[in-house]
Parts: sequence; C-alpha cells; structure tokens
Amino acid sequence: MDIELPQILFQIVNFGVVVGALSFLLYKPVKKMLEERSNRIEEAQKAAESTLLEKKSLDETKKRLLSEAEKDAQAIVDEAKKDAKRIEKDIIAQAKQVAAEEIEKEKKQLADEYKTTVKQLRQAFVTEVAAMTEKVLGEAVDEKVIAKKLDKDIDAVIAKI
Amino acid sequence: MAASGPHISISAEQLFSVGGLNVTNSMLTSVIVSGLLIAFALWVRMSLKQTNRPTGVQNVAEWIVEGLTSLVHSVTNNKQRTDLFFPVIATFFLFIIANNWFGLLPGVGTIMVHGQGAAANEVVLAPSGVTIKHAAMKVQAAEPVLTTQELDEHESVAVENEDGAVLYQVESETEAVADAHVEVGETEHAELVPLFRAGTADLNMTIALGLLSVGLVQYYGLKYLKLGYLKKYINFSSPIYFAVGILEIILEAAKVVSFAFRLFGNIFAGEVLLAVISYIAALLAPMPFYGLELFVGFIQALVFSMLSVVFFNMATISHDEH
Repeated sequence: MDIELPQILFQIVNFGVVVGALSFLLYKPVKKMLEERSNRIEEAQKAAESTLLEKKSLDETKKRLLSEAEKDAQAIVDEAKKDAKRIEKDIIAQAKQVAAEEIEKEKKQLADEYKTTVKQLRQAFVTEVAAMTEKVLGEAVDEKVIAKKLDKDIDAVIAKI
Repeated sequence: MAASGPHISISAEQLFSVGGLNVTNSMLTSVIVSGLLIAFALWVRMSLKQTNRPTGVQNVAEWIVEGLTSLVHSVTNNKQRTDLFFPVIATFFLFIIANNWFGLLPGVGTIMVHGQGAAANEVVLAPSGVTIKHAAMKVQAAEPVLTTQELDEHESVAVENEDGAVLYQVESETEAVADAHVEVGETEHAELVPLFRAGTADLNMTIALGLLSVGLVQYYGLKYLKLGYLKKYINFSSPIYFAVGILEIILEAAKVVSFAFRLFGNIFAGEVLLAVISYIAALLAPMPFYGLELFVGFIQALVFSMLSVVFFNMATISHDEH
C-alpha cells in the first residue's frame, strides 16, 4: 500500500472543488427553492385558514340574514293577509251597498210604474164608466164627478189586489 | 501478459505522471466521478423551475437534498448547525456513493492499459483475470514488422522485432476463458494495469476523506467553542485531564485511520470478491454479489457521512452542554 502525500492532497483539493461546485450549483439553489415553496405553502395555508374563517363568518351572517328575511317575509305575508281581509270586507260592503241602492232604485221604479199603471187604469175605468153612464142616462156626464165617486171603490179594489 | 488469475492489486496503479504527481487509476476515476457530480449539479441548476409539482431531475435533486438535510438535522436538531454541516456531509455522501458505485460499472477494473512507461496506444480489452488461449497478435515493432499468429494450447511464442530482439512473450493457457486482442506498440514491455479503479478502493483517497472529516471536526470545534475547544486536548488542571487530553489526540488520529480503513477495506474487499467470483463463474454468479456491493456502497457512504456529522456535532457542544 503506497501512501503518497501528493495524492492525498490531490484528493482533498478534488473533494473541495466538488463541495464548492455542488454547494453553488445544487445545494443552495435547491434549498432556496424548497424554502420558497415551503413559505408559499405556509402562506397558502394561512390564507386558506383565513378564508375558512371568513367563510364561517359569512355563513353565520347568511344564516342570520336568512332568518331575518324569513321573519320579515312572514310579517309581510301577515300584513298582506290582513290587508286582503280588510279589502275583502270593504269590497263586500261596497257591493252590498251598491246592491241595496240598485234594489231601492228598482223598487222606486216599480212603484212609479205601478202608480202610472194604476192611474192609467183608473182613467180608463172612469172613461168607460162615464161612457156607459152617458149611454144609460142619455146625457153628458162629467168625468171628474164620476172619478170622484169611484175613487174610493177603486182604491178598495186595488187594496184587495 | 498471460495472467492466470484475477487482477488484484491492493494499491492503486500508476497510469502516468503530471509534474511530480503520479496519476493513478483511482485518481482518474475520482476526477471522472467529480466531473459527473458537477455535471449533474449543473443539469439540476439549469432545470430548476418554481413549481409546486417538481418533475424529472429536479424531483430527484430535491429528494436527495431533502433526504440528506433531514439526515443531518436528525443528528444536530439545530437549523444553524444543519445548514453549516450540510454541504460537506451531503458531498461526503454523494462523492463516496458515486465512487463506490462507479467501481461496479462494466469496464472498471477490466479495461487494461500499460502503466507508466508504456506506449499510450496499448490497450487490451478483456475481463479481469482472463488468460489468453488464442491470441491474435498484431505486433508493431519499432518499425515495420507486423505479425499475426494464433496459438494452440500449451504453446508459447515470442514476438520479435526485425533485429531479433524479443518484444513480447505470449503463453497459451489451458484454463483460458476468453480471447484477447493484443497490440504492442513499442519495444519496451510494460505491466498492464486497469484504466479505472473505484476511487474509494484507494487508501490515499480514503485517508484524504478521513483527514478532511477529522480536520473539519477541529475547525467546527474551534468555530463554536473558540479556544475552549482545545481544553479537550490540552488541560493542565489535573494529571488525569492531561492524560485524557493525550488520549483524545490519539483518538482523533485513530478516527482518521478508522475512517480510511473502514471505507477502503469494505470497497476493496467488494472488488476482490467480485473479481474472484467473476473469475470462477463469469456469467450469473456475480449478480447477487453486485447487488450486495450496491448495498455495501450505500451503507459505507451513509456510515461515513453519519459518523462525520456526529463528530462535527459533538465538537460543537461543550462539555458543560454534555
């Protein structure tokens, strides 16, 4: 076994060169990259955690808003129902009133027609009675006098009808 | 040339010299492994993208870095110390495992070249421990002699150049397992050695790593505990502490030896095991041992790194904290 100092020194220098080259070309860049990636992942995890917290908070807000909206909606529905009932009542009252007015109007019209018809019939009856009386008596008769005399009888007949 | 057994050498073989430095096959391999690691790192650097779903090489790189970081952190339990120790520990692990596993690749230990002094163009491709039964020899002598000859069993032939000088002696072996192609380019014969050898199967490399680890232990100790760290070694408060200090110094030296020989021993033993098994039965028998060596390569890298980080961490904690 030959142990030679120059060869040992050569190997030490050779190893030193390899250490230097690998440090510069391999270890430092790769370690830097790994650290950067690690930092990036850490930041992303923090961001994810913050986003999760935000989401949780938003979920709670959403839940609260939904609950409030449901309450508001229920109140609106209740109010609407009340309004609807009130309007229904008003409409029914108006309709009843209109109907009553119509009935009253029709009654009045019927009464008027009745009066007119009775008047016409009364006149026609008086005219006939006057004509018959004139034929029986052979003299002219005043229709007014006959009408005066017959009024009570006619009224009695109408009342019986 | 006609080896009769597997090629086994306890020390790395010299390929050539650069200046005063003898370049061995394990040094060549460790430089190649370093280049591959740096190329991988460069590839990762160019492929990095800011994404939450990494794919491909980035995924692999992140897996490695994260795994090793958590390994270091499991010992230190301190982010600052983890960041400080990580580059060295991770490189220990990657460098050792890559060298261990590179030694298991086909061609490592089997591509033979002539060692220093041989012609650079002499290459023999044959498994380790192969013996030549029929050698087709192309002999290019100093000048023009070109010979091709086939050998019968138990035959030996001497290849000569035009002046009649013996260039090369080739002997046939009866227990031969493969043919080989031999090219001799120069008149001088040189020993054939593997072109590649696992970096960690060289004691010089493992000593270097052990020295680095123990040296860094002292550095981190001084960095964190300042001069108080030296009390561990030099303490005159009582004769017992003084003796303990000397033992601590011996212990630090023993750590280097322990680091170096454990790694070298395991990897070299694995290489020897594979070479012997391949020599005995080349086809399927080595496969389980390759699996075992992959595991051993991983475990040794892990053991070296873990021990280093434990020693680093212990050095940065004062006795009071203990």
